[in-house]
Amino acid sequence: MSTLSDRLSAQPGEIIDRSSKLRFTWNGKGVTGFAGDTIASALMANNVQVVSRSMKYHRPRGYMTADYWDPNGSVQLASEPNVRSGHRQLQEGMKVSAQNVWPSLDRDVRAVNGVLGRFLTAGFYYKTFMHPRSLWPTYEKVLATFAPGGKVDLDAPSGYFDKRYAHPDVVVAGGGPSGLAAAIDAARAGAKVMLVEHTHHLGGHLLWGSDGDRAVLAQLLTELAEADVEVLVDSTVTGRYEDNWIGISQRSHPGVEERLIKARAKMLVVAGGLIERPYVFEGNDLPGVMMSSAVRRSMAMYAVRPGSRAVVLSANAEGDAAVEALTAAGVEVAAVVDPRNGQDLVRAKGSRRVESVELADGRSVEADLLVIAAGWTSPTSLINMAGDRPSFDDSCGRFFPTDPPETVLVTGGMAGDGTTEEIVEHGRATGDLAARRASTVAHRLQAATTRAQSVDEIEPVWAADSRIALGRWSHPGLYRASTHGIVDYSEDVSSKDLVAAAKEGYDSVELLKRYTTATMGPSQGKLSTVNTVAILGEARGETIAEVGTTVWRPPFAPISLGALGGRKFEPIRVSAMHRWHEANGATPIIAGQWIRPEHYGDPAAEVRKTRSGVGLIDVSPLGKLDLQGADVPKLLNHLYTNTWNKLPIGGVRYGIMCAEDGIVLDDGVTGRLGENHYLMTTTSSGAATVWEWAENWLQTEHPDWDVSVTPVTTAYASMNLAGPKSREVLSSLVDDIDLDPEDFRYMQLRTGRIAGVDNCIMWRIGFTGELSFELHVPAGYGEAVWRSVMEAGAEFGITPFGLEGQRIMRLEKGHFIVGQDTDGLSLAPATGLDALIKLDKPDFAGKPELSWALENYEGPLVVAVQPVDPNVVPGEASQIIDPIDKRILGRITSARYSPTLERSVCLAQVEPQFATAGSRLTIKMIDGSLQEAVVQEHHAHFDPEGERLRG
Amino acid sequence: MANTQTPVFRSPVAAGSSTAPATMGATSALSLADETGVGIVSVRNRDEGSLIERFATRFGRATRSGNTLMAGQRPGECIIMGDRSGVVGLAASKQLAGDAVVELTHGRVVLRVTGAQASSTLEKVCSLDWSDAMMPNGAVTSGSVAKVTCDVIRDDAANGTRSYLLTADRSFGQYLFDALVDAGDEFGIVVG
Amino acid sequence: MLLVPCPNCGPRNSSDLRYVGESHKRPDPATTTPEEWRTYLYMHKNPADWMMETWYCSSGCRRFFTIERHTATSEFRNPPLPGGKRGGRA
Repeated sequence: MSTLSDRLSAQPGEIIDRSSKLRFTWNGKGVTGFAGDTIASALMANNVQVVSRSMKYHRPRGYMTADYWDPNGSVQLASEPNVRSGHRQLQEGMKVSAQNVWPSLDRDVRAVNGVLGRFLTAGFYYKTFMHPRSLWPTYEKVLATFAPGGKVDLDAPSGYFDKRYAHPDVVVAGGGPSGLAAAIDAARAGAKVMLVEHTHHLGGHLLWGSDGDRAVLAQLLTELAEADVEVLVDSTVTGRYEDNWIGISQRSHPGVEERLIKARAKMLVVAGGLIERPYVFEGNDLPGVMMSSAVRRSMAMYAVRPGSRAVVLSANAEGDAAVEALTAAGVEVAAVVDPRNGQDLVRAKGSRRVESVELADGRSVEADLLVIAAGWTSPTSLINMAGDRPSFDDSCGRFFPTDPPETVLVTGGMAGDGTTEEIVEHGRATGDLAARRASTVAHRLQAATTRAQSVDEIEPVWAADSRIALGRWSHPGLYRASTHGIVDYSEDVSSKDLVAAAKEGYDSVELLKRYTTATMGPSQGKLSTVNTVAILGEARGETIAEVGTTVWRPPFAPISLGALGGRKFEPIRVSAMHRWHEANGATPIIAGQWIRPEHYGDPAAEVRKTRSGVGLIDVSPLGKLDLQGADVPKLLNHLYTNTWNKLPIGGVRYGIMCAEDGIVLDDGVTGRLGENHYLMTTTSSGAATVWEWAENWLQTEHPDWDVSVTPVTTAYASMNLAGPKSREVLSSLVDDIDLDPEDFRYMQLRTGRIAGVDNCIMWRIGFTGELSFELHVPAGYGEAVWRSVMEAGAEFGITPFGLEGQRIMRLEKGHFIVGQDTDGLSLAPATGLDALIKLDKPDFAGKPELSWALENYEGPLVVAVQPVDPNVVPGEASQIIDPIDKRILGRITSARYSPTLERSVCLAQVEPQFATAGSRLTIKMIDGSLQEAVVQEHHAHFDPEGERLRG
Repeated sequence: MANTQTPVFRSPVAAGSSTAPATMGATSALSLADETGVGIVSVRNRDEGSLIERFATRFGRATRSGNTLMAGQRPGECIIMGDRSGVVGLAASKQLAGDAVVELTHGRVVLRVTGAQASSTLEKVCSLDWSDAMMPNGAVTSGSVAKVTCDVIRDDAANGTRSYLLTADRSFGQYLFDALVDAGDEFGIVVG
Repeated sequence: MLLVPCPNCGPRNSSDLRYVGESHKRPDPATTTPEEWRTYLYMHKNPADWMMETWYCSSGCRRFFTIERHTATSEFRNPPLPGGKRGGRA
């Protein structure tokens, strides 16, 4: 193959470092490039013409825009798919290969699709593979091999992705001339500025402009270096959300793969520049068809000669500049097609690259490069996201902002046209305006924020927009020539497809997009949106403005999933005894944010030892709220369904709480520590909810009540010492608390010193059904007290027990767990604790619903159930069914094998007519088999009279 | 009493935490210190004015008096930090009817991030604005730090070095410590 | 991310607060009817318009407040009120 493209001699603005040669491979073959090259420029310099195959038809594709948005430029690196080769900088040793090709880029057997292409119209897959449904898995396997995209390396090491928040005064999106000028002048006006440039280099189109342009750039960069601006290159403003919440994907932060910055900007300056718009004609996706900006950039920055003989379609000054640049670089310009003079082209011909171009005047011109300068697309995404609906200006063929919010300013090509000097001036004025408005926003924020530095009472006036508007340079609106061609290169959607889809009735732009997938590929419509709308307009006989456009949504450019995940903030909570548990063989279990011991090896043994002797469990996650104030009983009466007026000091009471719909919200005990001082406990998972629930009532309905609620969940390390020997163990550890059962009775509390630690709270209560003491000790001493209890218990054969042992014991005792044995539909009467619902109180949370429910409750009831076969332990959530008609009558909510009773025990919810003692139930097991079970008289399978815990 | 050993107070942050990359020492430009165990008392009163009068602070601001820090942590709530017996005594000596006094010494992990890069470290884990304008020395607020709700006090060193005191529910201590070490790694954070 | 004007803290990210919901008056439990009570529990006006709603500054001052917000534009107007009407369920 002849050399069509190669390296030019040194160019004045080139950014490659010819002294630093980099070796890399392309499809396994060793090649070289220079430091500063993108993968694309290095490949072009190595005369690589076909870089990929198109998505559906596997047509050969070469570089068209040679930048981030190039629809043909995605390549595979060793362990990274879908790398944008027009953007990614070359590194020594890179292994680059083509993706979506099989068996090779040169001979892609699926290019047979090219022949069948006419059948692969929009909706083809839907229409063809819909029926029969049973064959879909087969279709899917075959089609998957045709799917585009690279290969994910599942063994690739995961990278470190970072996250950061920022509060700049001004974020400037875009580091071209207008963005640079805006950043400089905003900083000079005193603003804290963050300048974000998508590519690796500041300067935008000045980088490939005239000598004069480069001089302007050099001047701007000098000014920037002197200004206090945070510059982020190779970073993208990906989205603008409410109140200028700005997402920035920073790919250039040292030491991390990618970093997601969430910035709250006082002002956003959108200086995104313009994206050159492709032209639709037959053969417009052949390698060798390139945008004028791509050609100029390749020559100026990377000294790559993109071809040897060119035809240039030039509808604007940029096209004319391309003609000049090509000529200067020694590329023969065989023809200039100027639509401003009514000229046009018809089609490009060639097999693997452009070979000739057919013009409207009938000429056919031999060329290996077809340069397109048809017009521009304004990437208005960020102003769309700010709520603006840009309006289309036919005279220059692009959208302009209509009425963005006052905190979003637009400059540069998105705002209008002008000379380099005019653009820079507009940028400067925009930066200055942004800084002045930011100072007003900052003043408002500070004035409204108590902790902030105080500010003058007089707010700086909101700066008026007195910028001199940029012009709008008209040029012919070129969207499609007389022939049909590709509109969306990423998705392989042609103008024919769009016309056909419109005829099928998909003639609104949003429908057309979804049906044909036009604008949905990796370039996200940056290249194809306007042409799509123009061709739909043609089909509907309407203007682009009438058709309207799709809404551009975040992200502006793709963000890696790693960056979105970022450093994971997944808080972990552990108790003060956690290190002891780890050192003593605890198997951890994750319970919400908590890591707790599930057991220490043998939960059944832990149960037996506790029931026969003594055991100790860490219950620190138990929610604890310190309640103080004269009106605490009013709050308790309001939150719990039972009555709290007469709880004596030193007393402890159990209660259930319901939400306003009568559904059980939580349960627990509250003890009275002093005249106006109580300690409430909640379930571990309900701690935060109950706290907020209490605050809600106190702040909204009863602000007159004198109650202070302070969460003290982990101010105390909590442990429950359970078992018949628990009193004996404890007696050696206390000196100012009388443990005499006649004095310190069940459901009472004492405060005092435990194992030398003052200010402990101890109450006689237990979930296990044994004589037990719940110890709440100042958390810093939690481990010390735990160790002391274990040492004191050694002579009584004490065992630590975990959550599993506790679950078994509570189930033996038939204690329900809110959220396990009850659910989001369980009204309080379902628990069978009707006696705890006191309707004689004037008000409490959920009272109306509960009063109606108690009158006529027909819902399911929680009952204790024992399978007839004592060795059958049904899976939790097994259905209870009618054996005849299979109707579901309820479900098993908890089930365990009881080491104490040596049989299985369950709690279940069943319809009330089956809830009476002795009712026989049929359980449908997980494996589908049926098992008989019997409803028990008491919830407690073990010690229903509660003699043990009162002992 | 069988057990006569003096009980040992333990911080939720393991000494020489395995994830801490750096050596102990306070010479670095950025440091993270575990100050858990410092006395903390919460005094609440519905009469905000009486709190301001007694503790010379208002909501959103902290006042330092020697080793004692008095912070208007929430409307109607003053947090006093310092020597344990001192702060308990202070709250008792100034107690009025209607006060709710709760000692939180054991309930909170207390971490201090000090150094010029302290705000850069914290903005990696928290969306609050840590600038001088929005959080000057003596500013008090609360916020989510690495998804843990923390009380925050800007409490610069006597020599003017930027310093932030974070307190959170004790059970999050090790997690929060590790998250701050991770965030400060790029700035060379040292523990101690 | 919306900035919510907390009456105590100043503007805060909405993620620092919990959205309690549309503010509505709790019926008198002594006289309420099932219809009225369940309207309070389950029915929301959900207008595309100005609406009084309750927020809880969960990461900040721990205060409930009520404020008027336009549901279509998320603009706030009028100063927030402390406490305010209950938002129904827990």
